[in-house]
Amino acid sequence: MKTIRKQISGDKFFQLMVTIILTVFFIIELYPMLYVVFCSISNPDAVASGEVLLWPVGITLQGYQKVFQYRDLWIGYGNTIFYTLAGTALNLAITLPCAYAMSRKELMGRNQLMLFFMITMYVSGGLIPTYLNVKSFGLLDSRWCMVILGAISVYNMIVARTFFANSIPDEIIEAARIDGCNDFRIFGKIILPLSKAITGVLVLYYGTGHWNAYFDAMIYLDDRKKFPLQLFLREILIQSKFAEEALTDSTVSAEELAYLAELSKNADLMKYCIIIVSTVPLMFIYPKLQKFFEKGVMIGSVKG
Amino acid sequence: MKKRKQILSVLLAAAMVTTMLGGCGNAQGTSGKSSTASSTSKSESTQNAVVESTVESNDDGTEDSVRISEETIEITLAGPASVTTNEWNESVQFAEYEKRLGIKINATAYDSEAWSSKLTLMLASDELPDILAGLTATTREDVYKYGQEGYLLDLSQYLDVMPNLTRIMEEYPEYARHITMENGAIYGISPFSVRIESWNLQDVYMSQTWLDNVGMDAPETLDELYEVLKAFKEQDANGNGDTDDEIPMLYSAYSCFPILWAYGIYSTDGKLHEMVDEDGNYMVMNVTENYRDYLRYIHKLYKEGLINEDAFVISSDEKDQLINNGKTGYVGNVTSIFLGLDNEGDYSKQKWFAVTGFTGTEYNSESVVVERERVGANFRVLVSADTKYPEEIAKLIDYLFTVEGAISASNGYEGLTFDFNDIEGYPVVDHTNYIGDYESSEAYRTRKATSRGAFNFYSINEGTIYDMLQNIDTDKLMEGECYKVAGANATKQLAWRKAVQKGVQFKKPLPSLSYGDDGAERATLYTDIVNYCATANVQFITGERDLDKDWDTYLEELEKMGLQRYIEIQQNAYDRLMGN
Repeated sequence: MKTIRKQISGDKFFQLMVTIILTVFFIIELYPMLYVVFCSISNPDAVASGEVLLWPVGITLQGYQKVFQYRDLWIGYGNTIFYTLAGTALNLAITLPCAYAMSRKELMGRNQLMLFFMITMYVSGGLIPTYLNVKSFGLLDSRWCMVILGAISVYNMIVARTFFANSIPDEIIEAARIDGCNDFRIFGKIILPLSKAITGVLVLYYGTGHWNAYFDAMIYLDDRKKFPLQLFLREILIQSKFAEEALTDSTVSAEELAYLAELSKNADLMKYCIIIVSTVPLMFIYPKLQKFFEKGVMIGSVKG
Repeated sequence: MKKRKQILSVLLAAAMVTTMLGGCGNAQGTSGKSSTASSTSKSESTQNAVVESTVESNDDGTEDSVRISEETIEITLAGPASVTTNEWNESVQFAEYEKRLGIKINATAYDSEAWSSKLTLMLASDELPDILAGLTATTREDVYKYGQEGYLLDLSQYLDVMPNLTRIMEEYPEYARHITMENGAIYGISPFSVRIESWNLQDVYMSQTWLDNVGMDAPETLDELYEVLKAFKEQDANGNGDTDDEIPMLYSAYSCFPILWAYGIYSTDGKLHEMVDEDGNYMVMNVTENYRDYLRYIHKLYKEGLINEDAFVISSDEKDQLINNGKTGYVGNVTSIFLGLDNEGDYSKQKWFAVTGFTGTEYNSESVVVERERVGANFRVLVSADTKYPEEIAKLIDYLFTVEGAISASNGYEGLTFDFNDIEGYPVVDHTNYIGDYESSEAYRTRKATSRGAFNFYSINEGTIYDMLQNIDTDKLMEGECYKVAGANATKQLAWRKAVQKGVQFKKPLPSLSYGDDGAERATLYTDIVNYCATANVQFITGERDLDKDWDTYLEELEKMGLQRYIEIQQNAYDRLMGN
């Protein structure tokens, strides 16, 4: 016994503990994802009765079949990709220059401007004024509404500003100026190439935001052809609740209830498949952008 | 210095997260508030629209589709999306309205969860469509508020072009009372059923197969029920060879109703048991000895494992599973009842029969059934005060109260979306010849034949199984075509006929009330009281609180929450409604 303990030196013991703890964390993180995958290929009845725990029960690909037959979903996919690409591009086009300007000490009234920005973080106009605003800009039921609305997030702007202020030395800008660059050129030729990290982070923040957004679409869009993916997903997910609601509705016949229950069953069948279908693109992009986090996000002096 | 900065930034980050999260939840609250603010400015502009009705008198009582508008008019319609609302514009029903009635309906559906925000926004920006339809969550109070603020058309001004609605209101005063507001206006239409009496039975069922397997008769008193449930538990009631997998009673508000009624509590709400006695006194039964004894009984069932242990956390999916797998013998309102009750879709396997109130307490010697309300509490259809075609819309609504109109809203038109199929000598609507690519006739009916949920607020017997159920011989009820088609409803009809024979008392539930200035106060009181009652209900049943020791504190708590004031408000509202 003693000899064994001697053999495991302090260092190795530490390594062992780290491995154990990380393995536990790994399992904790992995299990929910695997669970969703298992559920998506299991018989929905088995899922509902809680039989699916560690591996799929009654394997079926019906759910995926149904999902791929659901035409609206692909319209939504197309729209979401457009909103995400166009929206993120616009976000970057506005956030980066703004953040750069705010990071420069020679900007007049910088603190006042910052205060102005900060206020919008805490106090928003509210739904109705925003709606009226969108309406009078003629953006109601327009694709551009999904791209333009929320074009800048102050939080992200602050993140970018901090990055510019902390990791780009003044000297380099001074040098550029001496060489004859104006502000635009400095930004385009020097700042941007040096800010790949923060750009990556912003792309990730904004991109996932756009990918997951549904509320604006719900409020401002009427035309189903313009709906993003998330709205169709919601539609399917809430189908399972209609049957329950209809139970207390006096105008609903028994046959209709049966049909609603059937729909709700279908929705249950598709639920997990949809989660997978809609997150796969993000799962591929995330690791690619994640490396930027290592150097990218800094608010104040705290690295996040 | 650095440390301070760090702390500051952590705080900032935390604040950001909270505001971000807060943003999601707040949307509704703020929108609600601003709607009242913005609506006051609007109220003076609209409350007019008293159009002189110049109707050519074709009111010879004809109920056929008369063209409402010579030139086709186009009206806009919006509503919360139900399963199929996205296909509203493509329905045969709406296409036929354009052809037959001269009304082209242009519908937009909104996500059902965004609907309340959307409605607020439409009100705030003066963009109300001509008709709001397919609503499911609009209460009498909402309607009264919008109406008084001048957003809604008062249909009572058009009653002279609405002969069918007028007739129904005369025939069924409870419906007239419900849709007529305190100021005499009719701002909207609620669902209404003139279906057969058995339709009004609450959906509570017991399995005859289980009773047969344990060799017992259907229980009539609470003691008998206890014995039956005990036998279900101890024996192999579902006949699968395992004596331990039975759940005698699947707990739900509904499966408790027949027990509740036995204790003289005539309520059809699972949480707050409100009722009105013969003299018109409003009462909350949650504070009575009746309720305490009722809880004692349910607690006993729970303690002895006669109720499922997960009674208060089980999801409806799980309930369906239990029923489909034959694990339970006594159930309340659950969707799978209508799915066929077992995996084979065979009603006859479990032989469910509808249950009426039990007897055998000191509070009640007779069996009682509290009926389902014929008048739907919510408002289905509202009309904008700004519409250009008030009279045409009034006529359209009236058309929906004819037999043809009601069927058009529920099933479409004969020869276009359905044929009448003869079942046991009664014509029943049948879509099979028209379904085309749709997976089932119900899918066809809800997606193509009709604009589901938009206008089917008037439920009638004609063309449905109810016509057959009403007239068919009792011995044919539970067999052959009739049972195959009508299933659970056939068992309800049988139970109803038996109940009438036995002299069961039928009682009406508390009608839905509306409030004036005290509405806001009532809402706060109600939320507190109902939440407390619901929690206490669970605690008493599970035994977490003791019915002897903790009862007095429970009563005191309710008093402190303003129960007396709540009762007062409710009593006033009830008196107002009945005084109408």
